Amino acid sequence: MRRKEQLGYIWYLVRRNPLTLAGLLIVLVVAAIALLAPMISPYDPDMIDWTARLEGPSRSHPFGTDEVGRDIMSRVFWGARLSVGVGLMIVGIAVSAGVLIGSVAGFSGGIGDVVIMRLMDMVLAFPSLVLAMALSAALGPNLRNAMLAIAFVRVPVYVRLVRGQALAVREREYVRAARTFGAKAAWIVRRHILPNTMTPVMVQATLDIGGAILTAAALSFLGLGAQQPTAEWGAMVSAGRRFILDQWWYASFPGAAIFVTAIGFNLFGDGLRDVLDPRQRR
Amino acid sequence: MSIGNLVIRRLSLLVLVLFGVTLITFAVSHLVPGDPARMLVGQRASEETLAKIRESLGLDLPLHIQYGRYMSGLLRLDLGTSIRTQRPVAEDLLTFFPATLELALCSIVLAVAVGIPLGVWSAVRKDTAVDHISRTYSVLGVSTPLFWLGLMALLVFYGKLGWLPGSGRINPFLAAVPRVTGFLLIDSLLSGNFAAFGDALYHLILPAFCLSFVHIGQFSRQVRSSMIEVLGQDYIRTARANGIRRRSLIYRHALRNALIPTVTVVGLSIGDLLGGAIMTETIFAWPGMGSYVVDSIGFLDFPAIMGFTVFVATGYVLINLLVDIAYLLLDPQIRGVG
Amino acid sequence: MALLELTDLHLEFPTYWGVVEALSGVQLALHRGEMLGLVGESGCGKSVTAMSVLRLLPEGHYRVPRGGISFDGRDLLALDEQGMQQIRGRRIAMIFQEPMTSLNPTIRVGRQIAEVIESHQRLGAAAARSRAVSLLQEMRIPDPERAAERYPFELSGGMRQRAMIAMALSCEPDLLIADEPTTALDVTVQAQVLSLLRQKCRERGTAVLLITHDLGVVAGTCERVAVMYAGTVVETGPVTEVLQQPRHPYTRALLETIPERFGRDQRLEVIPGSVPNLLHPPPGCRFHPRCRQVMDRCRSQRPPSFAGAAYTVACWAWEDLTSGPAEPASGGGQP
Repeated sequence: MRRKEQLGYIWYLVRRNPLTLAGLLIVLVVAAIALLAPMISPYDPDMIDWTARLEGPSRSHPFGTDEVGRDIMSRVFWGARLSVGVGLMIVGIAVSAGVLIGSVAGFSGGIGDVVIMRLMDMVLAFPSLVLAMALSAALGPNLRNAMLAIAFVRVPVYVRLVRGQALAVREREYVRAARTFGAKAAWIVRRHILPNTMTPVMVQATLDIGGAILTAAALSFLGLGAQQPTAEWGAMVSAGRRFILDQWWYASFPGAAIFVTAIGFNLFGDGLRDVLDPRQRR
Repeated sequence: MSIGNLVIRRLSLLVLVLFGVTLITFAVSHLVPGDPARMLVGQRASEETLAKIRESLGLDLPLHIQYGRYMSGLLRLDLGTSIRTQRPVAEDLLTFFPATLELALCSIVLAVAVGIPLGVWSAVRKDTAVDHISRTYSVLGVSTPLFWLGLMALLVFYGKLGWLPGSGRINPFLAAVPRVTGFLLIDSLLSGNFAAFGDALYHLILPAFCLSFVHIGQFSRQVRSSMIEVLGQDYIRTARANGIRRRSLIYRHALRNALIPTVTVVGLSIGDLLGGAIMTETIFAWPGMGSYVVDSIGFLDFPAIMGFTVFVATGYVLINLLVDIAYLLLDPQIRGVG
Repeated sequence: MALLELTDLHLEFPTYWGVVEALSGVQLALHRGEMLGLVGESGCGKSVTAMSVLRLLPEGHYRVPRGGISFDGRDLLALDEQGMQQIRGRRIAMIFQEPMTSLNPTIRVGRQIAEVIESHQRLGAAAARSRAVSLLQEMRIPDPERAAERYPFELSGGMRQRAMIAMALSCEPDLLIADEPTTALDVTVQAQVLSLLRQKCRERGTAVLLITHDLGVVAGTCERVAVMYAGTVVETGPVTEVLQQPRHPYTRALLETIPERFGRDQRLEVIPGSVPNLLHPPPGCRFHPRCRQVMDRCRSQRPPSFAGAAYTVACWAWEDLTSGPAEPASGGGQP
């Protein structure tokens, strides 16, 4: 099947699955909110208003206000920028590092491969949240370090993915042929190995964005990522925690935002994986 | 290859991985920017104290020697001293560990008891309403921030409905249960205190449910996909062609093959449970390791944080070893029975 | 009356690109105790035919717009799943091509056979097991007691296939469908398994529908043969007749391409063209684009299956030489 036909078929399968479509829709909406936050937020997210403290959802403040009178809806909108950006960066770092290390491991083989894979096993021996937590605590509690920590923990997944592909492709005839006429390793990697890995990597990355957003929010909740008074969803839930019983809106809306965003990425990523799974195609 | 050989291989891998775990933890704890001595002793110590600490801990020694001392400490089960509680970290962890374990075990039992049948049902009734609901739940479960779920559950079931308690393991006004194992459910039964047993169970419901929420979805999804794969295999077709009844096909033939990869997933989820315990315990004021480490984070109590990390990682590795062994026992092909 | 009768059976698979007409009017009759070979190239629909009899195709992914399947007078298409389950194994059994994957890898062989027995007969576990062991012995598996305790991966391909035959024959079915049972086996083992199959079915009076792409297999074991092409049966008749004096142009062309007929330096014959795309099959006779004797009529009208004395052929060239289109009850059998 030619390229265009392939894409058309994939789109057909995506369309057929309403859940996947719903996921895509959510992702687009969230992305739009993130991009347009400065324009659509009714208030300045950091603007303090002592007269409107801890007010419930109303016409003027659809999501209510926090303990210093800041509008929660605006903060949630601006939080989208932060969370989506953070999610994308975490996955971007993990994928880049993973692809690099994985191709090196898979393609060079031998002792290098063994060492790299053992190192990856060691990282994977930790429950991911625990390691990310320890790392970001050690590096210093701020959003940048949290991102690095979470990315670090995700790298082995991509290393494995790419390495597997690299190993498989390495033995194929056209690669051997390429080597015989002196092609350099980097060229072979770029030309043959990477295109083959891109699909599973893309699927995994889409799924991971949701997870990255969740983990980043979790770390912020614990006080390790975004610090108060940043308008970050996890930090907001943490701040709203002590008000949960009487001023439920404070922690509920930011948390719901995390929930919905993660659902969007996961539904879409799941659907994408089902569609691109070679066994599904006729 | 016999089982014995495989186990030996796994064990040697285990040693290697544990070595790696300690190495990484050591490396991480030395990433801490700033003065490690100060980190260990806190912000208020004097210069003299700092100098003494540096010397006694050998902080001016080359790194690999420091690592050696760290390792030998670990082998003696010495995880350092907590800055916050001023007690050995190992002691602290042991005090709080049973509470977390009790919570984690209840969650796993719940997740398995609900998730596996759900997955089977979903696979057998593929593409019907049940299947769609179950799959949606799986995705929803994976996407739910645990800390938010806990807060919402607290709000609804404790705040608004008042059905379930919102904090702690047991009503402090009940007669105290003498601590034998540290598991309230067991200890209360051992001392014949059925009221306490009931109350402990009552307190477990909400946190255990929250903790298992994600995993119910994960297990059901795994079982579903394994079942679908197995149901599509040739040998199921053969059995069907020979007239084996549907019920028997599903449970005897398909499920036992589908459960094999599920075991691995269950084992891996323990790691997530340990991470999730951190969130859940915080929200429900559950006095376990999770609360301990969160308090330690607030204090930047690095010995405690690192001690927790090593402890949890080691546990996780050991559990995965057990899962691997279980896997070997379940699949006759790998066993190489002759 | 025929034991199994397929009447103008049409079967299609709706797909993204359109409807695939896997079977377009299959006409077939099998009598009690006879061994009928169903031959054709890959993709001609022989496996689909076999699976449709026992309704083993994935539910919901196919349609039967026309035609019927009748077994011992009963309409199989009208049965529900419960009804089919009672037929499977007990009245009609099936063995498959891949012995490697067709047995459950985590259940011992003896247990798998015993289970089939227990499903259909009122025997206890112990009785079923001893029956399973005696079946294994009958299938000439050495040390049957030990073999029954083994897992499938511990047996060779040939032994696994024998175990499958034992399983299939355990409840003395009236019909055994064998879908390429020897294709995945070594040539020497092939002959043994085939002769075992033939002997055991003969002893029990079980009719056999043997599906294969190998004319040699058919020649050695079957009494009658049906040739399929692109979803239809183009010719049926006694084996010797069809192989020595093929009537349908496809059968003729096929027999001309058998490599053994050629000497060392001769070019191999091929049938020009290629198998039609079942999404857009050619109008008229399916074979007409490749037929040497194609007539105008062939391009637009599909020939029915014409019946002669003990044979059928679906070709316009035979219209006048036969006594008219085959009627459902006598597709090739003795009137």
